[in-house]
Amino acid sequence: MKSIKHVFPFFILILTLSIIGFIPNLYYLHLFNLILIYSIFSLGLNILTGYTGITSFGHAGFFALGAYATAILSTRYGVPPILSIFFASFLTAIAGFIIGLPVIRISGIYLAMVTLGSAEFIRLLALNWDSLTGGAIGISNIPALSILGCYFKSESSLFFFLYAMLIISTFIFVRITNSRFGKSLIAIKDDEQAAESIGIPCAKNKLISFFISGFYSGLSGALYAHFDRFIHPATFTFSLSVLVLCMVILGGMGTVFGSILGAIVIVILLEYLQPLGVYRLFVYGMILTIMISYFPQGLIGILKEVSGHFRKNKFKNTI
Amino acid sequence: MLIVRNLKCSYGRIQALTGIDFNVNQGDIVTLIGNNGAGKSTTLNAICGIAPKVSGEVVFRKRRIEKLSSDKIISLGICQVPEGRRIFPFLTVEENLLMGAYLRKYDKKVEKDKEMIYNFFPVLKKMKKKFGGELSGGEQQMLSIGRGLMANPDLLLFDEPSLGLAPFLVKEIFEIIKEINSSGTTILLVEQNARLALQIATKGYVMEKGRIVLQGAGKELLTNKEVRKIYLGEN
Amino acid sequence: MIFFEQIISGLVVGSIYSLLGLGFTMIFACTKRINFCHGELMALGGFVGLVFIEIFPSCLFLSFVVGPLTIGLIAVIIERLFLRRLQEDKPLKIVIATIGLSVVLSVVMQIIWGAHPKTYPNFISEKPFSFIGVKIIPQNLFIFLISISLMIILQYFFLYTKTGRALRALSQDRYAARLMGIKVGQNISLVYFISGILAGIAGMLITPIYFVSSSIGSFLGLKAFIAAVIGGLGSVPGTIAGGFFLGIVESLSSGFISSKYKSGISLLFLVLVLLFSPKGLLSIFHKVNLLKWRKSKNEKY
Ligand SMILES: Nc1ncnc2c1ncn2[C@@H]1O[C@H](COP(=O)(O)OP(=O)(O)OP(=O)(O)O)[C@@H](O)[C@H]1O
Ligand SMILES: [Mg+2]
Repeated sequence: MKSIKHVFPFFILILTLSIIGFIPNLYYLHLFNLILIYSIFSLGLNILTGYTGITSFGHAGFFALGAYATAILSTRYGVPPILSIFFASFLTAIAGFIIGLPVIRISGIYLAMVTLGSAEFIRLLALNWDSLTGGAIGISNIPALSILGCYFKSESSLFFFLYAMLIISTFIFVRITNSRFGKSLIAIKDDEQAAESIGIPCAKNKLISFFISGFYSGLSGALYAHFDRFIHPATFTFSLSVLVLCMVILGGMGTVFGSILGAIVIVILLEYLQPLGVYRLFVYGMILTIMISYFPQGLIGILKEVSGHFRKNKFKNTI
Repeated sequence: MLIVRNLKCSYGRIQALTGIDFNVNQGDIVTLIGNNGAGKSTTLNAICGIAPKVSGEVVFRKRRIEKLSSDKIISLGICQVPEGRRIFPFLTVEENLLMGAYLRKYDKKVEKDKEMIYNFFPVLKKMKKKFGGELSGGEQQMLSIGRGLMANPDLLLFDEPSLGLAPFLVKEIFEIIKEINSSGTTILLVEQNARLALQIATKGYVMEKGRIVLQGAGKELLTNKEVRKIYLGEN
Repeated sequence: MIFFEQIISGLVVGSIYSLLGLGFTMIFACTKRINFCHGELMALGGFVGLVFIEIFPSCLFLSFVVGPLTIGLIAVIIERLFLRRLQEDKPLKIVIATIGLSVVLSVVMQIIWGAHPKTYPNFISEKPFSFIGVKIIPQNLFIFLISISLMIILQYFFLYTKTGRALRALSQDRYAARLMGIKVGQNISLVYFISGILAGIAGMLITPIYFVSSSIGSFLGLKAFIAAVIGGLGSVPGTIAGGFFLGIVESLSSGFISSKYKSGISLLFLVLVLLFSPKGLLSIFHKVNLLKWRKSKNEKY
């Protein structure tokens, strides 16, 4: 019964947050939906970067793969979106596994370059394989999400669907990272040799983490495709990889809520800096650099420190 | 010449030294002995200015040096021959020696010192053009000592010079240390080989878990019951 | 003859790759870290060169000195402000920080100089002359010669000067280097300074042929990085060879393979090299020991 006690506050939180779904302002709902999608994406990168300690500069590639897979399946072959999303996520997970295969031989920056290279390759494929991907024009008229004929066309119904997806994803994510497997990932990140010496199969676990990361990223990409209903290669450039890296690092590597917090802040920034156009990238670059060199624990770390400070002061006052 | 007072040092949370005191007088050979992890290397590094978070006092020739950076300390005349030799593997023997004189101006005197070291260690002269990494363990130790001498120090710190060497080489290294000492260089020697170290030392200190637990003249410690039991392996 | 001309144009591009790749290699050798905004520094070098050439139109040489020095200083500032505190941390943190910086730098360039590529008049004539039947453009010859002489100077610096020796010592054993009295922080800054200067010169050299734009940095920087990895990151002769190798391969293959996939192909090349010979395709250079600058045996990343 203890577990119910633990889960209860979260339950309340989830319910209260779902009030957002009833906001009549479409613009805000749209923003919230984007946040939900990017949160899943950011979780996907976090398991790799924050937990396993592998940096990827090519997550845009996974996102693109998920988006294109579901778009192609649902527009060309008439697969119901809800199924095609899962096909797409699974496909991306397998792609993640394959792209991750080099972990057996290489690590660090070289591995990051492999991810960068594969993302570029995926983008070029999308750009040039006209017959399948529509080339530079992309794919439009992607069907809206539907379950058993019930369409999620409006922003608010979409919100509830995406919200449920995020909650499920987060729940599974927490389960994974709290498991023995999750702990082993952190051990690998801290010191791979030590991890190997206590019998953790490092290469295997890294590959699994690539798989999971691919799944999450593919899922978010697929959701994005059905959310925007129009995809084209220009969306999935290197700056998207930087963007998601920015979310993870801003929020705090290796924390679940850090990823979500990062997504929230970055998406809102993205929106409010819209008038700046390309120059928005300046802000992301600065965030990335300053966070990593001055606040490596991310926003979550800062919050913790501040609240710790607060508590200490309180203590002083009471004594 | 060197006075250490209440020296403390910590690596993050681990406190490696919990306040140690000792003196080294001009012309002496002073030895620090102790088990693995007692904090001997940390002590030497703290003196050289490359240990993190040092507090306490280190006085060298009436000058406080514990806050100075390592290059200042070295130019004052303290040099360390580090544990594990730490030869630059892809510099030639000659370049390794020159690195020892990094803080000096390269002039005739450096050349003379180099020749002197080649005379002292004829092996090194033969291997002049070889890479440091290509030498054998014993040769590397000699190179490491030679490199230390190139700094022309007044106080030379040795960190386990006998580590991993064959017994006859160990004897040779200790002879070399004595010889360096008799030519006027003061020596602080950290050793696991307590017997040999205490035999050549004028003064000895025994360290345990970051502090000094015993001290005395070298010969005196050799006869001490506890030292005999723990560090010399006798009953 | 076409074949030879392609080889020659490959050599010219390759000399730029080598020059840029050396920046990566030097920093990697001394700190085991990778400076990802190196390409952007090069582009910045092109733009800053542009400014100085406008200021001193009559004295080209002066711009060639002041421009690269400015880039060197910027590299040092970047190192001091953002990277120094990460030097002892996980290697990838510096990569992430410099990726951020590369984005920032390219946006800054775009703001100041606009999105369109810029160029300045050629240093020397562009009229080709014929040498044993092969057409050579003096401009290209100039670029090639400057790069080669810089590489020779750099190699001399590392092999025979006191500071160069200290840098090599630092790259091999940082702890021992500190024991010798080498100031680690200062020397790392010096390495960034030199690599910044090289980037600045490369930027000025490429501007007349490629034109300089805010996006060329990441493009050429990536190529140069690939060249360095192919040759063996951390090895000076390896990097030089890798640069020429990549230049020639690209130039020869541009005729055969669809140019659509061109940038993808060099990345694919990188992936393959990494998989099959992580120490670099030309790792024989470590064994042949041409120029006494090698990686230590047990290093990672
Ligand atoms: N770089 C470091 N980081 C963290 N802790 C360290 C570091 N170096 C030493 N220590 C700790 O400090 C303590 C003293 O170490 P030190 O190297 O000084 O011992 P020592 O007496 O030289 O041992 P040995 O005989 O094995 O060389 C040890 O407990 C060790 O774990
Ligand atoms: Mg020791």
